[in-house]
Amino acid sequence: MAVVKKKRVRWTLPNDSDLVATRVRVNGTDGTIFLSDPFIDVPFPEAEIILPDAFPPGTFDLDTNYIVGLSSIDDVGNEGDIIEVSSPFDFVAPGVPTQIVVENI
Amino acid sequence: MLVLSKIKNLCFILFVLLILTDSAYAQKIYEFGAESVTVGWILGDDKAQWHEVKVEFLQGQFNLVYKVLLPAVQFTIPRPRSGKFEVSVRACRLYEAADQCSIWVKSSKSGIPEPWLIYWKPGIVTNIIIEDE
Repeated sequence: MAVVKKKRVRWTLPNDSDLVATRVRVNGTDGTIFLSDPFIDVPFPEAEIILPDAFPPGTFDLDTNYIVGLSSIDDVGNEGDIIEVSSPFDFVAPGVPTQIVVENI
Repeated sequence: MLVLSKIKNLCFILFVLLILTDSAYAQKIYEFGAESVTVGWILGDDKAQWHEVKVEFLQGQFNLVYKVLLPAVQFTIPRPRSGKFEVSVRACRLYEAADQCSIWVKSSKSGIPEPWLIYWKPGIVTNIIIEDE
């Protein structure tokens, strides 16, 4: 089983009284965030996630710079402005060795 | 009811003043990062004793009514929550031990006939940190 080095993303929540979640989007190909990008909602008052565990398998299948977009969601579904940060994410474990030979020396 | 109908004749011309903010106006929806909006109005006649400002959110059935005593003819609405809302004002007076108020008049803006829609977005997250686990 491959093991990857994980990353923690944490943030400070705004002061709104009606927040229910923080929406976290990721994009590893376009250099920006689109509303259609995969996302998860982190329930209030949590303010951190562990990557790549928080997203479905396959979300981070590239060893590249990812854009992470965070926005706050209120109780009726309004979404605040998206704040983007960029970071290199390498959640791709090295390939497995092959042709392993054990011999006497 | 008679008095009420008289008061209905009050003709408000509402104008809305914006406090600060990014004024990215588009159609009738305005987006603000501010924590308050000021609504002002012009007296219809000299009968009003106070005014009431109603904030109606279009989602979540969330309404607020503020009482504004004369001579004030404007009121700064604090941000109670995010969402789209309309602002209405009516004039009121005490008559024979009962409150009598005009109809609610929705705020508008010059050149835009529809009720003036305001949108307070949820706040933004800050201090985003990405670190090794």
